[in-house]
Amino acid sequence: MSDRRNPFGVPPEQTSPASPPDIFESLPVAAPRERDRAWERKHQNRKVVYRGVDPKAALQVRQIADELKVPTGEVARALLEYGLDAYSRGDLNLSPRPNPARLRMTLFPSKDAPARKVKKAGKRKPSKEEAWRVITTWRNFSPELKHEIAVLASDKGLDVPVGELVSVFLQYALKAYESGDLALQPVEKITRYSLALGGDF
Amino acid sequence: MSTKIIGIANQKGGVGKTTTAVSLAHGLALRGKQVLLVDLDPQGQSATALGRSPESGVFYLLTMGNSQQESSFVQSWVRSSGRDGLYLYPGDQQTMAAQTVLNAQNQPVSSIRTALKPFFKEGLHYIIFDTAPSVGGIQERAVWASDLVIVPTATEFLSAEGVGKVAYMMSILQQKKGWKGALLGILPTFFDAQTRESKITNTALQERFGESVLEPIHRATILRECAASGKTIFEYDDKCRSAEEYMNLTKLVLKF
Repeated sequence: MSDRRNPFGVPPEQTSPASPPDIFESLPVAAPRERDRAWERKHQNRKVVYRGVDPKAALQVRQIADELKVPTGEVARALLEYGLDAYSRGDLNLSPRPNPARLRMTLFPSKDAPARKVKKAGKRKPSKEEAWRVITTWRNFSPELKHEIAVLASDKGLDVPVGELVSVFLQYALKAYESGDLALQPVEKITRYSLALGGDF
Repeated sequence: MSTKIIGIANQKGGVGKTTTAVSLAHGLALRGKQVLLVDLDPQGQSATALGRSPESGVFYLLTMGNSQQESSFVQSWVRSSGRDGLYLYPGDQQTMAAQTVLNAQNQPVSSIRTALKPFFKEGLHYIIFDTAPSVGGIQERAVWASDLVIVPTATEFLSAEGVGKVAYMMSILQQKKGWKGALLGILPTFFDAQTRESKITNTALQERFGESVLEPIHRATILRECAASGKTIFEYDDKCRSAEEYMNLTKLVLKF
């Protein structure tokens, strides 16, 4: 293999001082477009960030959005509205339990959760990413819905982490979507009009 | 968004230009874009890969003038691919004759871009060129018409050497002919991590072109099978590695 040539090497007969300069140096290379974040700045109140949302449910929301070719936030909004409606009607029963590890209640009680965690001395093992560390961000979200969910999750409501509440609503609505009880119908969005030329001028 | 033209070019044959052009075009269409795939290769295999028949559209695109009547005629050759958002401008062996006409008429390097101007008003997001593995007129004009160029290359010595020639052509077009486009990337194809040749060539490409070398497309029989059945890789098996690799390429293109 020692006699292997470099595909981009200059042939020996071209290495004289009269050789042209390296053409690769002047090759125009494209750079990715810089994203204009003006929309995000303008619609800051339509952005929502939740911690501890079930990652599988969040991924499913994204997949549905991809299938329907609509923004992920709109799918999340539709699913959460469905879950919230079901809760208001009494179709979805939420019964928070005390969480032994925290002060707040939980919607996902673990049967074998220890009453109190005792930290062992020594080196801390790297653990799996805990649910509360997972951050989910959606845009195109309704500020009213965001407020409604926050109030329901607060100590004036169910007193549970908002991520848990969002997870329960999403799981409920996703189940309904899969069974066909909830239909998501994308509609064409007209963003601008153009003038049609016609008639007598 | 204005129409962006992407040229898939390499003077070397058998490096995966048609597969890349068809897969990228369909990938973009699947992401909700309106795409026109222009088959500038006289073999007309973009049409075949999409399950359509080669036709002489490109001959007229390259040889007709710019009058309103001629433009309408040229636009009438756009064919539906049978897939949402993906349209085909078919070519066939007549494209070779068009090359002779272009050279005989001494048409400027901008002639293909000028011929495509009427399409810019059609709400297209992307025009993709599948070019011929040759030099002599069409490929240079196609590269000049492109805003971005992807150079597929098989991961073996002779193909990699061909990349240098395309790069040289692009440099010359920029310096001498005022080309405003740029290289989007070099796409290693037929990559086989089991073979020494593939790995060495890929390393040589990365040493020479650095970040312009894109993630490789692995050698896969399924890519030949889907062409044989007239389906794109996303229709044939959208879960396979090749589909994933071409979808990653699509997502990268959307960033430019």
